[in-house]
Amino acid sequence: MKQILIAAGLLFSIYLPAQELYVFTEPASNMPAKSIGVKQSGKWLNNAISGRTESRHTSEIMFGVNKNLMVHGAVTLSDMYSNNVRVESYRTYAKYRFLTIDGMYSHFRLAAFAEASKSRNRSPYDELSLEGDQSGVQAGIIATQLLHKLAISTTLSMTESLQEGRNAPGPKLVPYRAFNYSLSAGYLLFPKKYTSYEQTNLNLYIELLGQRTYDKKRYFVDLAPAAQLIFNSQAKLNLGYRFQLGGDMMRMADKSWMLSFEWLFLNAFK
Amino acid sequence: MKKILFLLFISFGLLANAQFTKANLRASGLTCAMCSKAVYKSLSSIAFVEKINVDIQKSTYEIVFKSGMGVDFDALSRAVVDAGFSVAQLQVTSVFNGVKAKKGSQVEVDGKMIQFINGNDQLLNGEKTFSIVDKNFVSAKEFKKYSASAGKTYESGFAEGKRVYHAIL
Repeated sequence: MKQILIAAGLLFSIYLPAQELYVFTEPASNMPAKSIGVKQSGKWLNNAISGRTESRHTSEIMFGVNKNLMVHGAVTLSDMYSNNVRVESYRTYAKYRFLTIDGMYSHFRLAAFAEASKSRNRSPYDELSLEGDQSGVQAGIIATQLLHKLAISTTLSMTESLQEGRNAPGPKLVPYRAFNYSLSAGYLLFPKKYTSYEQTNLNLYIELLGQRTYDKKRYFVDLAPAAQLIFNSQAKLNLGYRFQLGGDMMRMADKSWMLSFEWLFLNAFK
Repeated sequence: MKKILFLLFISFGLLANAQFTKANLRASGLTCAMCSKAVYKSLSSIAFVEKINVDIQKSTYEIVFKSGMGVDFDALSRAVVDAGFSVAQLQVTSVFNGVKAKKGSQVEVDGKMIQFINGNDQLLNGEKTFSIVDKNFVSAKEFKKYSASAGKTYESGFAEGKRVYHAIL
């Protein structure tokens, strides 16, 4: 635990700005080539089953390999499946931007992504997530449109849980396959006019996040409003609240809070 | 001593028929300051860039070149593209010292081959500004528009293996 905190601290000592846009999802845009980003996130919820307030902490490192490709690595710790906070999963993520159409203050981008995670948890829940809950793989497409101060994005993906019991005979106790979709909108609220890189930016987001599972058929649709402060065009502070609009899943919680901090180090490697 | 300086003066005049002094670059595909800063940092890391004045709101970067070093326009475009965006326009300011510009033919300017695709045949003297209209310096739509009149070296940007820039005065 201590070693992980020290490593995270060392990562924070290198500087910034960030390129990730949305709070709960990824845009089709990529990080600048040869840049390195670090992100620390916390998720808090009231676990309906255990009756406790539990949390998950994710430390993530991101590399802009070239203008079209970025790869991430992350480690998560939580007490959602244990009495105390413990290391629960590792994951890797890659995104490839394959189309860019740029205009003045606008762009349309398409990207494909793939993700894999290994979790020590045995999730009894219907919700599939590679955030730390299950081991699995996921792949999908992202489309993003920027129009001046508004950015709209949609993601479609498939998740396959590789948790134990996938090939067991009989009806599934938990789902192993899901289709995910999201629709996100972000708006640059402040500043109204840019005069320097030192101005603090405020972006507001609203994201619709849905999942539909196949083998054991269940679904949920969540709404996630969020606010983002950008300091010095370098550091990002995100705060989000995610809650269920509808669904029939057995979930750990149907609402959660998220707080994260991101830094990007430009021209970090040759 | 005076004779040596005089000779040096003459030789510099003969060596450089023009000198690129600065450029105004407009980047597209972005609105936010963080994206602008990524472009700014990427351009700043280029060896021949002296300094950059940014107008974040207009998405323009006034780039002052270091004197005495060659200027590579492709490096400027590459820096913007590597940051994740595109060049909408690149206007280059140059001090000319008697360069004969003939529409449709290539002329060497400060070590670079340039083909002016507009205007009449003229002798360029003093400070003049021209826009580079090659691929990766204009939008796809504009590139298509110029393709009709810019000549056969426009598509590839090369003539007999040598890089040629196409420009508008």
